Amino acid sequence: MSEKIGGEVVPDSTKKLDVNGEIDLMIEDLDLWYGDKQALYGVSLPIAKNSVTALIGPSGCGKSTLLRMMNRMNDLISICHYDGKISMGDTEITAKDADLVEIRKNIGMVFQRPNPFPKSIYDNVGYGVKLHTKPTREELDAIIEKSLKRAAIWDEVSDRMHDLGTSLSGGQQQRLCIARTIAVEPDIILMDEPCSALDPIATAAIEELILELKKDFTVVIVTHSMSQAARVSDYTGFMYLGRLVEFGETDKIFSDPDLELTKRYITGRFG
Amino acid sequence: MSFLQRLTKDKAGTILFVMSLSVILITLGIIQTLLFETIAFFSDIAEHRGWFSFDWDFSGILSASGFACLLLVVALFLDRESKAVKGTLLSSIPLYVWNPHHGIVKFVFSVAILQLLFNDSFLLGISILFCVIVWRSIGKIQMKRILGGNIEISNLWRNILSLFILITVFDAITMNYSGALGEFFFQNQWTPTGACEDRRSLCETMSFGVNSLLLTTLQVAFGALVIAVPLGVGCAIYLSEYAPPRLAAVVKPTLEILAGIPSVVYGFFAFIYIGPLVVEFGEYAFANGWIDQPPNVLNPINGAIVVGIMILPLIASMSEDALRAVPNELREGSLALGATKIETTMKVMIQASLSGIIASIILALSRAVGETMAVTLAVGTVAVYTSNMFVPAQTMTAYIAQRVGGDLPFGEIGYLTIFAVGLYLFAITLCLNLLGNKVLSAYREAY
Repeated sequence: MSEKIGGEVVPDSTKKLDVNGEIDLMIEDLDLWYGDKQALYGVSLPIAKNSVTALIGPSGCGKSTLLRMMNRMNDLISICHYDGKISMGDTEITAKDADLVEIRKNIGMVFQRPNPFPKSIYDNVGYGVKLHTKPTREELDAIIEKSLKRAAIWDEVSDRMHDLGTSLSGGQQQRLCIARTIAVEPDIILMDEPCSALDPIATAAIEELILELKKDFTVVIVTHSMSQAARVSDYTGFMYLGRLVEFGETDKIFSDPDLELTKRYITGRFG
Repeated sequence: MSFLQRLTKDKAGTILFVMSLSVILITLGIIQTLLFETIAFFSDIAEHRGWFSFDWDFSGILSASGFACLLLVVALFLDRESKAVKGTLLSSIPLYVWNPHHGIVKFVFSVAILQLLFNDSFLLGISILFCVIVWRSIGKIQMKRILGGNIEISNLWRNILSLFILITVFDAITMNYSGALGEFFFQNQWTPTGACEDRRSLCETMSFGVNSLLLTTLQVAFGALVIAVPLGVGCAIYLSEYAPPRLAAVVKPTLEILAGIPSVVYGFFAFIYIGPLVVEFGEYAFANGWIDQPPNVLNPINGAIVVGIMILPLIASMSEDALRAVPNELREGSLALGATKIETTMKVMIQASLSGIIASIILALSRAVGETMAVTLAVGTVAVYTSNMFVPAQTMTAYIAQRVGGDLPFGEIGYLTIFAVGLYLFAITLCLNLLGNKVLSAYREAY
C-alpha cells in the first residue's frame, strides 16, 4: 500500500503508531468528507496520556479537521460526514448516539482566536462549571481561583474578576480561555493553533503553560510553527493532503525522520 | 475658479448637490411649519388662559408621587453611600441583601411594569424600576469591594436620580395645572372642538389635555411589544440558531410578506376578526367586575394585537441580524465546553447580541407609536383617559388622521391642535429612534 504524494512515494498511512505508556484516545482508520470532497484519508493516530501531541503540516492538510473530529465539533458543519472510529477508553466518540455533552466535557478545546464570552472574567470561567454541576458560591469561587491559577493568569486578574473578559489583552484572553476549559476538568485539551493570533511574549507564556498542563491533562496541539512543535510536544504527527504521513516521538521526527517528505517540510523547503 | 463656474463644470455633482440640499430643506421646512403652527396654537390659548400656572398642595407629598420621591431619595442616598471611599454604613449589611435572588428582582420588575401599564401614577412605576437598577448596581459595587477591583465612579445615575427627584417633588406638591402648557401636558381631558357656537375662537368647554391621547398611544405601543417581543425574538433565535436552511427559506419570506401587508388591511382585519375576540374576554372581565364599562369592538387591546403583528417582522429581522453578527467562535466556544444548543443560545448568544435585540425593540416601539391607519380602524375615535383597555379610545396618530379627514375649517383652534400633537409625536419617535441607533452602534462597535 503506497501512494504518490508530492512527487514522492510514501506509505498510505504510517505503520509506526507506538507510544509509551497509556493511550488516552485512539483514532482508527478515519475518513472524512466535506460534501464530495474528501479531507481525511484513513488516519490512525494514538494519543498518549499526559503527553503533548503536536500535529503539523501545511495549510489545508486536514490537521484542524482531525482535531475538531476528536470532540465532534465537525458536527456543526452540516455537509461533513465521516467513517472510522475514535475511542476514548470504553467510550466510542464517533458513535451515532454518543453523548456530545459528555464528550465535550471530557475533551475541552481552545481555539485559534481567543474567544472569551462577553461576560465577566469570573463568569467566563464559571460558565462551564455551572453547566455540569451545581456548585455553591464557595465551591465555585474555589474552582475559579484554582483554574485561573493553573492557567497562570490569576495574578493578573485576581483584582478585576468582575471586569469583562473581552477587556483583557490577546494573550490574557487566550489564557482565560484555557482556564475556562480547565475549570470543567477535562481529560484531554485540544488546542487549535492557540498562539497564531498572539505576539511572541504571549506565545512563550502559553507554551510554558502547555508544558505545565501536561502533568494533569493530555494535550493535542495543532501548530504551524515547527519550533513550537519541537519545544512543547512529546509526539509529533506530520500530515499532508489529508493523510497522516509520519508519526513518532518529537525528537525522532525532528532529528531523523523516516521520510524525505517530512524532512523537507521540517527544514522549511516546502509548505 | 468661482463657485458658479465650478457648478457648471461638474454637472452631475451639481445635480446631486441640489438633490441632497432639497432633502435637507424639506426636512427643515416640515419641522419649521410644525414648530410655528404649534407656537401659534399655544399662544392662541395663552391669550385667554395664560401660559402656565399651578396651585401648591403640600398634602400631595403623601400621594403616590410622594412615595416615588421617597424611594428615589433612598436610592440616591444608597448610590452615593456605595460609591463613597469608605462604604462603612453599607459594609455592615450582608452581601446577600445586595445580590437578591433573580426571582425577587424579576418580581419587583414585573410589579413596576404592571404598575406603569395599569395605574395612573406613571412616576411611581418609573421610580420602582430605577430602584431595582440602583439595587443591582450597588450589588455589583459591594461585590467588587469585597473581591477587590476597580470601582468605576459614574455620576450618570446620580444625575438621573436627582432629575427625577425634582420631577416627583414637583408632581407631589403642585396641582391644578392650567394655562396653555399646563393644560396640554398635564390635564387629561381632550375636547379640542368643544360644543361652542363659534368654534373659531376659544371657548370655555374646549380642553386640550393631550395625556388622554398619549396614554392610549403608550397602551397600544407597549401592548404591541408584549406580543411582538416574545414572538419576534423567538423567531429570530429559531432562524439564526436552529432552523435548517430549507425551513429558514420558508420562514424568512413569510416574515417579509407579513411586513408587506398594507396597514389599512391590518386595520380592518383587527376590526372584523380580532375585535370580537377581545370583546369576549372583555365581557368575561366585565361580568367579574374587573372593568367598570362594558367592552366595545373598538379598543386599545385590539390595536395592540394588530400593531404587535405589524412590528413583529421588524423585531425578528433586526434581532436575527444581531444574532448572526455574533462571531461563530463564541458559539463554538460554548459548545466545546459541553453546553447544549439551548444553553449556548440562552446564556451566550442572547447576551452577546443583547444590545442589538434591545435596539430592534426600541425602533419597533417607535414604529408602533407612529402607526396610524391600523390603530385608527382598530382603537376608535373617542379620546378618553382611562386604564380600561376594553373601551374605545384614541391615539395621537388616530386623532390627527381623524382631524385632517374631518370637516373642520382651516385656521380654527381645533385644527391647530394637529400641529401640536404632531410635534409631540415627532419628539417621541425622534427620541426613540436616536436611542435605538445609539444602542445599535454600541453593539456594532463590540465586534
